Amino acid sequence: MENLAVYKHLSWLVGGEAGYGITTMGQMFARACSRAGLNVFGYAEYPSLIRGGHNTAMITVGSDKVHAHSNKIDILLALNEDTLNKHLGSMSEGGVVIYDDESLNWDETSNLGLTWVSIPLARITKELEAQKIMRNTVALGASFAVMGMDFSFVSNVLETTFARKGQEVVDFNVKVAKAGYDHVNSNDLAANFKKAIPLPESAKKQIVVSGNDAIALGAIKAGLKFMSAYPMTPATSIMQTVAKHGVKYEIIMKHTEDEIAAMNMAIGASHMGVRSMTATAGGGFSLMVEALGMAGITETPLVVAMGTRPGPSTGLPTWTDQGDLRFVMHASQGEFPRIVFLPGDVQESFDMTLRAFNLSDKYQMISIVLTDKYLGESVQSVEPFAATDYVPDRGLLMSTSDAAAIEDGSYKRFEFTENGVSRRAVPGMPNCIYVASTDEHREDGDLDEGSENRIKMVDKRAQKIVSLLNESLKPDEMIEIHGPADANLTIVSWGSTKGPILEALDAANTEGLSVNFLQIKFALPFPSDAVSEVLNAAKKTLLIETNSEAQMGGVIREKTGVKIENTFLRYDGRPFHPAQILDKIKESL
Amino acid sequence: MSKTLKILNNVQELDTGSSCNWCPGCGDFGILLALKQAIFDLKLDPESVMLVSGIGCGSQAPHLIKVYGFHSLHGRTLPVATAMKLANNKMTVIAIGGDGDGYGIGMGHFIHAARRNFDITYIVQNNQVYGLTKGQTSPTSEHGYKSKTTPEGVIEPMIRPIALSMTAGASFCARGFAGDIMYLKELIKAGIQHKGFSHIDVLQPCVTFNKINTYQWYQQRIYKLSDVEGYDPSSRTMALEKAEEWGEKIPVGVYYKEDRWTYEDKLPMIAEKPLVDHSIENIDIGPAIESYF
Ligand SMILES: Cc1ncc(C[n+]2csc(CCOP(=O)(O)OP(=O)(O)O)c2C)c(N)n1
Ligand SMILES: [Mg+2]
Repeated sequence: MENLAVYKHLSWLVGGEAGYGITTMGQMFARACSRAGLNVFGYAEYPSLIRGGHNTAMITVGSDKVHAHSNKIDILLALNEDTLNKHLGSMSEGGVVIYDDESLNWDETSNLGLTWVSIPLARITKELEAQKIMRNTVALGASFAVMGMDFSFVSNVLETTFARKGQEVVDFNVKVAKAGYDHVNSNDLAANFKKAIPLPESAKKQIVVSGNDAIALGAIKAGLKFMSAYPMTPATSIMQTVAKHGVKYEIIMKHTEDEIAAMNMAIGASHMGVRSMTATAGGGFSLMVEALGMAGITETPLVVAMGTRPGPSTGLPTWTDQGDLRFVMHASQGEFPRIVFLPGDVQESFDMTLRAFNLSDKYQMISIVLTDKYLGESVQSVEPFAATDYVPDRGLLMSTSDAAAIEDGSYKRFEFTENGVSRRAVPGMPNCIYVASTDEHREDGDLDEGSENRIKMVDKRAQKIVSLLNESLKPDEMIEIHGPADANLTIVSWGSTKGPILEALDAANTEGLSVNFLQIKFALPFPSDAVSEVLNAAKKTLLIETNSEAQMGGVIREKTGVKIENTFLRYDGRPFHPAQILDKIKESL
Repeated sequence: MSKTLKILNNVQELDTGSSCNWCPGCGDFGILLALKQAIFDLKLDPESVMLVSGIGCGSQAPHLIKVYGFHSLHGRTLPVATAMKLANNKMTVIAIGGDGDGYGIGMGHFIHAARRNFDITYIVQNNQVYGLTKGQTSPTSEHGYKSKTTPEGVIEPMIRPIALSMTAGASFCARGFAGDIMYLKELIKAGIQHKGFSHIDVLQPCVTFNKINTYQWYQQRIYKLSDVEGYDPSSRTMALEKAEEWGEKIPVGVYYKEDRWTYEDKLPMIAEKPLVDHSIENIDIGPAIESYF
């Protein structure tokens, strides 16, 4: 018997070959549901191929917040036999399979307790003289009929999607979708499907956005002016989204010759005084590592978005993983401070990016926003981003008139100060000529290999992280406890596993179990005291991570002395789903 | 960023007084002097000059000229310098680094910077060895050159820097000699004034490690393209032919010059003012989120 609390959402999955338009279909379905006022979570799986190979998009919807995808499918839209072969086993009881029995070679439709909605997608498409790919549109219409939802949500999305191509194209798409919708209804094909999701009286306005796009939008809001990057899954859409808005927001987005150039260019631009960033995956980050230290020693602010996928090396390019936590924490030779943000969902991806730009400027330091395929490429419905109260804090960056007031020749870019942060003039300003060097330097920037200076400089840079903790980062920003303050079991995790954990937590507590969740939001600086306090008070703990070495577990032990005995690790490239976490919770209690 | 222009009264004002670890007689001194003179002659405001280097003996240069400086990583001179130009295109950006820096570890960036034709000047201190790491073979070492890493002699042929930058798309390609400071100064001035990527390869004796390509060796071979009758730097064919010339005779001067659009020309974001002068207060992301509803 499946657990109703976990599966209180409805999951729709479309599957087909790469090149079938699966992603676009998933997006349109998600947006149509979002406009109806439902909350959505969209998760896509695809192999590292452009054509062929099996692609899926799963959209999970609910009337309350949906934090993760589901392991169960309520409505399966199969565009090929492969989809049936692979996913019938994951159908929930009473689920619906939408398929085209005239095109697919499939007969066994009787014994699974499912409702089989056969709809001649190909024939309808042909009769309407539409392109072959538009069978997706027929199927989209059919899906909404199966869910018992009004057709207007579909036509509404088609309208905005195709508005730019003219009214004729819009009308045609609506006609094709309507044919699918009507076919299901007039033949009463979905009469047996009982899983209705109640729609809210009035739909709230929300956007459906991926973690990557949230980072890009956060950066734009923060005043990003320069980005340099090189495409690599799963981070590519960050640079693409920034590029798309480049002209409007006057941002230069440079697609470079490699990630070495990307990182060095981002640092060069930032040094001149513009907010700048790069984005990459583990492989690209490997190439950026040397320059990361250059930002460290020249005290150049910079934001790096890093989306992980399973390694080592090329690994599983289009799957998910949290195996690069230690890598980003320690990458590059030498010791220098950095901030590592661990967003757990789309909203946090946006918020933390905004924060990253301010803290990077204020402490003249690198910020790494660590995300992964599951978070970066999954979409969630959220309240439209606005951040109207956001104020860019540029820290000790001087204005031209500040600089003009300085006595020529007296300026020291790397001046020793109490909190380690020095006044920052940028090239082009009056009276402040200096050199920034990757060699160890004195306060004025000139070279110095002396022992006394070296110690002071190391301490100065290190002091910035102490100041960051004293002045800016408070414990309640660095960790969050979800669920009851006091519980029999405390789950400890970070990053994208937040979604599935929240779903499982909700289910567990509804069932009367007593579980809470410590979400760690910063890897560096590490919130040692706050984490210690929670763990020492916890009755039982369970560490959950999407890697094989329990890397956060190691960090926790190193920083707090606490060893978490129970771990639940997944490292097959797939994200955790709520049901398996719920099972683990039960097993652990 | 608007500021009052500073005019230098004499070239010594560009001295930083910092100590320098170059060997006596090093070609880097000549290049440094020529660069300072060029900046002075062009009446550039030192506060509007950005000098970017990599890592190598010559890359110490930014510590020795009183302009804004950035001493970056080995081979990364150009990515840093070109992004600086994009961030503040009002600055005169000059990149400087060794042959190992630019033609070895940084070769990929060199080709792409040339192709993009950013409006910067790139001076290569080409001593045909890795000076700072004590004399190993560089990409411009001659075929057969012996060093500690190639005790039996270099197997591969030397690269032709001018041919490379030119075919990649640089719009100003020149070669100077560290032993002829006045001529080099004029080349640097022309490079700075040229709108586009100005590549200036400077033949530079390394008195400590390179016992073959000495001042004398060069003096016997060098001749000026400006003295060649009928030489036309707008001709790609003539330029390419000269770019291949090495051995008995080695040409210096402007090999190639072309008027073409720069990368910056095509960026509407900086058509009005440099990026660094854009306000980032109260950015409205309304239009950017429209497509997500
Ligand atoms: C990534 C990296 N690899 C190697 C080095 C060591 N290194 C420093 S300078 C140099 C070569 C310098 O040769 P060149 O660029 O020709 O400059 P020169 O010293 O001859 O002026 C090398 C290999 C380094 N600093 N960084
Ligand atoms: Mg050299």
